[in-house]
Amino acid sequence: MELEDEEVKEIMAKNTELVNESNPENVEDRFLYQKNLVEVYKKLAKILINELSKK
Amino acid sequence: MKKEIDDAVEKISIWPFKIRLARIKKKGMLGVKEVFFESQPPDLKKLKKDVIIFDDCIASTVSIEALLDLIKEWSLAQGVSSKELKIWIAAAAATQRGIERLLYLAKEKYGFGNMKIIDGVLVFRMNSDFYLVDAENPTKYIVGDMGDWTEKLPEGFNDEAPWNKFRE
Repeated sequence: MELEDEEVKEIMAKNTELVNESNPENVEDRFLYQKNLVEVYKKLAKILINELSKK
Repeated sequence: MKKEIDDAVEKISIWPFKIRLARIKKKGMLGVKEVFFESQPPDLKKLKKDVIIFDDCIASTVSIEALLDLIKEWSLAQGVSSKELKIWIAAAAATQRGIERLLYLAKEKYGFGNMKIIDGVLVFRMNSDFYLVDAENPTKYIVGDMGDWTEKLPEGFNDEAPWNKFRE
């Protein structure tokens, strides 16, 4: 296991805040949650691409 | 970033798929009752033996294990040795227990050549409903119910949320 990515951790912390203070029926907050998740997936994809390029 | 993605996509084959799982919870245990696979299995040889899975969350691992079971079945049916397969899993959140279990199963059950897991946030505790919670404060959720939170948005969000157009 490697160290966690600080930026990803920060984005995920925003979603943790949302799920504890709101609910998914609030569409504005659901949008924010998904927007954050998309950012996380982009960063994970970038890490993955770097790993694949090492092959 | 776009160029990097385009270059990487040149080297890999993308195979979108649709899978639904009927999960069952009994006496505090969680399992997969049925798997509804709604796509054609991929040609593993065409995937160049690198199988990349994006998952929102690895909690109990029952869902991803059901998918890994299918990959193992396909490899047998297609004459591809599971030893030749390298499995990459990217998840927004995962439990330490889940990651350790998958790495163990990759070798001991599935016999994959390799497995790498790229995780957004590492979590150390689940509650009795298998939700990820803060290890020190189990009333605090880490990602909530990702199924509910990633539910399709109203169409009015399509411009701000382009991914919404592809949701059912």
